[in-house]
Amino acid sequence: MHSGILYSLGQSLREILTSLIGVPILVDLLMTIICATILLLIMATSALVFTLGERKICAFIQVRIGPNRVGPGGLLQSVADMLKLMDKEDIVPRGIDTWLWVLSPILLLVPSALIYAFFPFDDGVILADVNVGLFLLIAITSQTVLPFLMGGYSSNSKYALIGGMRTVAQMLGYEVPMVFALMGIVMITGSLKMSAIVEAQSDVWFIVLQPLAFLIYIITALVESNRPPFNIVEGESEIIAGPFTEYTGMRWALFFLAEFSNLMCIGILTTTLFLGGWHGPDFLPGFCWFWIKTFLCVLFYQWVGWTFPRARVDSMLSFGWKVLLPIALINVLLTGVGIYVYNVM
Amino acid sequence: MNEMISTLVFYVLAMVILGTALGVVMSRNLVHSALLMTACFIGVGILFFYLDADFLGAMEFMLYSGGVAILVVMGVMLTKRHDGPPGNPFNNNTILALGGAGLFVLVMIGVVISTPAPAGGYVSPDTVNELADMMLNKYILPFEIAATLLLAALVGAIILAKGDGEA
Repeated sequence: MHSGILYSLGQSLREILTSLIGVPILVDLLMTIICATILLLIMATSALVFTLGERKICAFIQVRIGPNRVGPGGLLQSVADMLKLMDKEDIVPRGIDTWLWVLSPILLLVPSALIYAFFPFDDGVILADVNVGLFLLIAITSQTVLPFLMGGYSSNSKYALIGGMRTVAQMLGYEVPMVFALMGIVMITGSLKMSAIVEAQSDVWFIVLQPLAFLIYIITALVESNRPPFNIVEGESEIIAGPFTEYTGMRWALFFLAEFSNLMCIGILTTTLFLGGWHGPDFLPGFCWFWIKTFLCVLFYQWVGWTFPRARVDSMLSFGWKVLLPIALINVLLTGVGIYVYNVM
Repeated sequence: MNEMISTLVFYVLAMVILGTALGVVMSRNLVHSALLMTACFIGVGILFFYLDADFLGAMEFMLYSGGVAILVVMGVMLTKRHDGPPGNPFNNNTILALGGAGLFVLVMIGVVISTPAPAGGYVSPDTVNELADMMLNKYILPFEIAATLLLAALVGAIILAKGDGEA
């Protein structure tokens, strides 16, 4: 049914496990654990790679050299950073709501890690190909709001609280246009299944059919993941670091990990929803195309992030509600008319 | 084996849902109550998934724990009173409350016992399409009425937010 190296690799692993253990349910469990471990490794590695990548790209755009002391050409900088973060003193501020404060960074990581289960990395290589895939994915990403708010509230700091409130305003405000923009894709595909969405792009990518939705998506994706031109949640010049002002060491690193994991997520989602997923010319296997497109997307998002100045909070919110949402609704209408005309012809 | 794991999952889930729901009522801190309510919503969402109702489960995540809960938490945080002691207002009407709750439990037990369990375990694999079919064909009128009501609420909220002078 499926082809591709990754799929047959998984299949042969399953056969080996079946011959070793024999009980189907245990094999299923073991396979799920292996897949989840691989996904978590991908997530952790992305943070390691993107920290360095971000600093190098930022430096390149701002005509600097960037990290260049640790290792050849500064390659080991993120390893050094990691060691430093582990070694840092764990400061617990006075007057905080301890439970919420401790839970916030941990809970933040859960949805970020969970959505990796819905990404089709190659033909048939997807951990949970559920019927309501895309919708469930958006629903899970919307859960990241509350941990930010928890962190902001429990820190007993005005900067953190303002940051938390901004998170809510921004994420709720931009989720609506994002959902409506993605509606066009669902209408054309006729399914919410992630694999079906990729399958529907085997001939024409959705960036061609849905250019308006693509534009709305890249803006809302930058907002939802707190990327630079829209990172008002942590606007350093205004509110220090927003919800994670009061966190240090590894607790702060968890916020950081979630942020880079989200950056990779929006790269993967752009690839899957608009750029044909793992589809590509035959000379490279599907997962190679997938990662090439994903990294190009991430590069694009970083480029945008370091080029534009940060948006102001009020103008950003009114832009979301008064410009993006109407355009997204018009896109839904146009797509409907388009589908009708196509069916009639 | 499958049956056993399935039952175990259900009881763990039920314990989480009931535990967090109790926490909402018992917690002395209003913000904690609101956050526990979110946890309860997530538990209910997972329960929907357990029953193979994918779409309803995702809806529960999106609307309840993603939208409603956040609004409640924000409301609680913004309306926190700084003069009094923090937390949920408690009172001494324990006996009355016990009576009311007991009555409710009795009614619920009656409802559960008198409702026949649906025969067979068939669940359509594609709940989304069937739901859409029902909403846009059979129940189109209630659907549209609800939509109009929501629109009216939206306009009302804008007028309230703008105040008397400007609107």
